Amino acid sequence: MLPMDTLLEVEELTYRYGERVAVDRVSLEVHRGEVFGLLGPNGAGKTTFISCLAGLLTPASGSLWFDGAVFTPRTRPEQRARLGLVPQETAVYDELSARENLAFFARLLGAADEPAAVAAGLQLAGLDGRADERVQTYSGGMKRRLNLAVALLHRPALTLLDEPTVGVDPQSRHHLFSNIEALRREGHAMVYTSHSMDEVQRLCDRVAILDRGRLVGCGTPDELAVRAGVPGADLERTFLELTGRSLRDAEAG
Amino acid sequence: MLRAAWQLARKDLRIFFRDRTGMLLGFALPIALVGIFGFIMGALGGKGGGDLSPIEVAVLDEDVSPASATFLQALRDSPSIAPVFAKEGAFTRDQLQERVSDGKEAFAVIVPQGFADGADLVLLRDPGRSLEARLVEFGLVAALFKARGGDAAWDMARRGLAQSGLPPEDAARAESLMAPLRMGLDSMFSQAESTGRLTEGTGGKDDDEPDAFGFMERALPMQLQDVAPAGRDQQINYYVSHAVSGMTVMMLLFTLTGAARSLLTERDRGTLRRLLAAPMRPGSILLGKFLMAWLLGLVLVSVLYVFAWLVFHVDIVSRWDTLLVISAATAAACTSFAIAIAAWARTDKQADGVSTLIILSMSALGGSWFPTIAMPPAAQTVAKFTLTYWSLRGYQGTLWYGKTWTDPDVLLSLGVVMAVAVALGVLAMVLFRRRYLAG
Repeated sequence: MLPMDTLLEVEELTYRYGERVAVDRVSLEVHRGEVFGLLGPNGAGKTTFISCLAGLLTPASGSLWFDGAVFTPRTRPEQRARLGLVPQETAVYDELSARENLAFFARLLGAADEPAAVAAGLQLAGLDGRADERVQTYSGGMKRRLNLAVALLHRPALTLLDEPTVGVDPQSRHHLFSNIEALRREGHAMVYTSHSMDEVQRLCDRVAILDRGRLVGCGTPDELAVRAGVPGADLERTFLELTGRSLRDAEAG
Repeated sequence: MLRAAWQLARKDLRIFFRDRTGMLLGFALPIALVGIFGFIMGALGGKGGGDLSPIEVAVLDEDVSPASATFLQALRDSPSIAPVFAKEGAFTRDQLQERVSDGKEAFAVIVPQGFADGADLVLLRDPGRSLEARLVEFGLVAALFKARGGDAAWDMARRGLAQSGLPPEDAARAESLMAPLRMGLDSMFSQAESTGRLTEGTGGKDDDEPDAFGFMERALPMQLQDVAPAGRDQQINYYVSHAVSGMTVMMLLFTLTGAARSLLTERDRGTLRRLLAAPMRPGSILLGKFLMAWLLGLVLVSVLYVFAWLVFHVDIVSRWDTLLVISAATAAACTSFAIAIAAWARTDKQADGVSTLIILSMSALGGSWFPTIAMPPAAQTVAKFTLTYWSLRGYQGTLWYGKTWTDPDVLLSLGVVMAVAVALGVLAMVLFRRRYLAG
């Protein structure tokens, strides 16, 4: 039986691309109302892990429980509706307007009140003034805000954010952070991946660090610093102590 | 400048050769086209791939005489005609008329009573298929010559003179002059043969003078009867409706392959991940792509046939429901094909290469560019394994022969096209799952 505040539980999850192990027996929990950070060098397996959490990939072994039920790519649509995904790419349709994008995804995601969801999405993205313009005319920051708004249309219990702030200006970043903090106050749980230690330190309650597919640490930033042997250090130093200073993405796969 | 240009070219070549599947397909396409065209055109010239397939002609022998038997044997030996006899007993004249009208036979020949005494053959033909009709007529004449020997030539000359426009008395005089000429020629041939001086000859030279051609045609010892279903628009011919349907099916394949590639676009822009994570079954994504492309296909077919109706008078009104059913089935099969390609391909280059290769090969072999009758027998057999062939057969069945979708022949075509649609749809789903739901 899972503890009451656990929303997502991952146990010994492993995923392989052929012979290469991308995620190696990772176990962790995400609690309700928590922003959970997922860090790791390039190629550590973060996106693969997020894809497994989103039900896009079937793990080679291990298990995944979401809100007390087993979660796989074959999980029923009703249960999947409680999950939101913000992909690394700005996954919206450039040829459509923000309003059209939001309306399309609201219908697809099963939002209870479509017009209200679209209006809330436009407000969340700060795009009320340009709601009917094609997305291809938007700046990178506007697209990123829309990307987040789409994932939240159906008010999911857990949202997976895969590097949502890549390439955005400080204003858009600030806007995104404000939204994430507001969502946390409302009780939404989030898994947040990023290469920005500052962002993770600011937003996340707890952090997991992946390296070469393995979990090398999980806890609050302070707990991780203690574990790394650098109590009181910032997250960046803790991260480097736990994962080392050599380049990871240049290593032969 | 040249150095920079060379560096750019080298870089592009390196990129080109990196996608090996795409690169191989790029080479396979021209090789396949050269091979297919060489094969077909070689057959038209009599070399490089075999001769043209003999044209099927249904036969009714009303004379049942030694002369008619000799003629039928000559037909069996003909390289250009494949006589078709009824399996049990003989066709009646009415049955033959109906079979030609129905499109079951394009041509039928009746050896009438009195044939042994010089009565004319009767050739029933589909008036729209003039190209093949010429081959059949000459095939029949050749068989007639073989069966009747030299008499046939004199019969034709006499017949030609009688219809040449000469006053009757002059025609009679000319005919009387032919008798000693024939006797003289026969004597010369006999002498040459007996003394061993007769050679095989060097063959005649084609005379394409219009008057001479007309003279020969009038002299043909057969009656030509055009048999067409009642109500067929006489302003078009078989080849026009064939060409319209052929190009329609080919363009449908190209257009829908382009449309279905939005699956690759979704993957590249990241929306596919979002759709796959959404609360719906993955099959819904493919079904959505199918619906979009299928509806687009129906619109394209409608536009093309309305154009053909306005410009070429192809009758799309009389049997619009059958046309719609065939178009819906064809669009479904083309859509499944397009989605299977999109689900298989890793890159745009691969999708381009394999789809162009298959579509052009299938169009050439299946009859989109020219009727399969103009192909060697092996190619005609291969044609039956293409979607294009069965789709065109269905379209011609209704547009040219006026059949409805309940006709067994159209139903067979529809059944094959739908089976292709289902099979390729299942293949698309399997490929999609393997590509995007791996693990």
